[in-house]
Amino acid sequence: MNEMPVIKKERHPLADIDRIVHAPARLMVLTYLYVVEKADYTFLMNLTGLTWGNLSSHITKMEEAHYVEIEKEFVARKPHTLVKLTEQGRAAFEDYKKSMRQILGNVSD
Amino acid sequence: MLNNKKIQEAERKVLGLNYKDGLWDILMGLYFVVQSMVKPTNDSGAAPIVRYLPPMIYLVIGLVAFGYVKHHVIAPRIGMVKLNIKPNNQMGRIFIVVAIMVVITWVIFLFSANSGLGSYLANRPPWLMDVFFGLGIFLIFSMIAYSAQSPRFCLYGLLLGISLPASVIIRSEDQMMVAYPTMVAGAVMAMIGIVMLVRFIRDYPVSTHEA
Repeated sequence: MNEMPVIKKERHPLADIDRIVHAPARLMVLTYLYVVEKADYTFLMNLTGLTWGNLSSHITKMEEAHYVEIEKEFVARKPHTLVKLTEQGRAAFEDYKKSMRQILGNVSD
Repeated sequence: MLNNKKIQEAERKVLGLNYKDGLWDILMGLYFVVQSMVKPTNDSGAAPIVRYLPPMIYLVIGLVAFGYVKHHVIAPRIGMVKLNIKPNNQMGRIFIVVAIMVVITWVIFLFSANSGLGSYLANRPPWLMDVFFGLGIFLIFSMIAYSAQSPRFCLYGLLLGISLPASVIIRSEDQMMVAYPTMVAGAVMAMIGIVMLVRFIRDYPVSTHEA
């Protein structure tokens, strides 16, 4: 009895891309957090042009993935929230950067 | 594509937003105005306490006022950021290069004042040394302009760089003449800073959300 040959299919690298990082708005926020130590919501809103609600929902998603951490403090008796990239988030961002370079590097002009 | 160029652009945008309020321009500009007023006293050979006290007093008052305005006027508008200055990123590299250039300029200045170099250069045109330091100042300000994506720092470098040899060239019997180029450079910086601050306050209203 002839055995069926096993065809190994290689997954396209884009299939394994980190979707938390890949979303344009989150990628934008992560890029800014990558270059600073920490920033508050107002600063990120001014940099990205995102609305408060939009930014908040993206940061919550990244916090659930442990890519960012939130530091809450009181400044002049007013609540103040700082966002910081975690080591895991930094690694995910660098992996994403590497993957995209690999994927797009293979595409001819 | 997300590449290093995009990350450098992000770094420059962060720095640009951080220096958009014009506060540094006002602080530096007024410092040079104060310094230029002290220069005639300098040349008259007054005691060091008389020469250095006004700029020191200005710096203390200026820095306190700077901190107050940054905290109560600027931060509620653009928010707060803690910059990541490490030797392995662009901000860190530029910071290191600017710091090295400032140190080199000062070391050469002190060395030339206390060695034969000063007397050697004294035989050359009197403005030669000032051209050299003016060039150094221009390079330092150009680096800041590039890193903060703010071409106005190039203008400041040019004005201050020119003001050094210009002070020597237009030196006259009237000691006060010596200070005018530096005073003009400082006043231009302060005026640009005030315009930027007014525009900044207009363009960035206080955020109504919790920061």
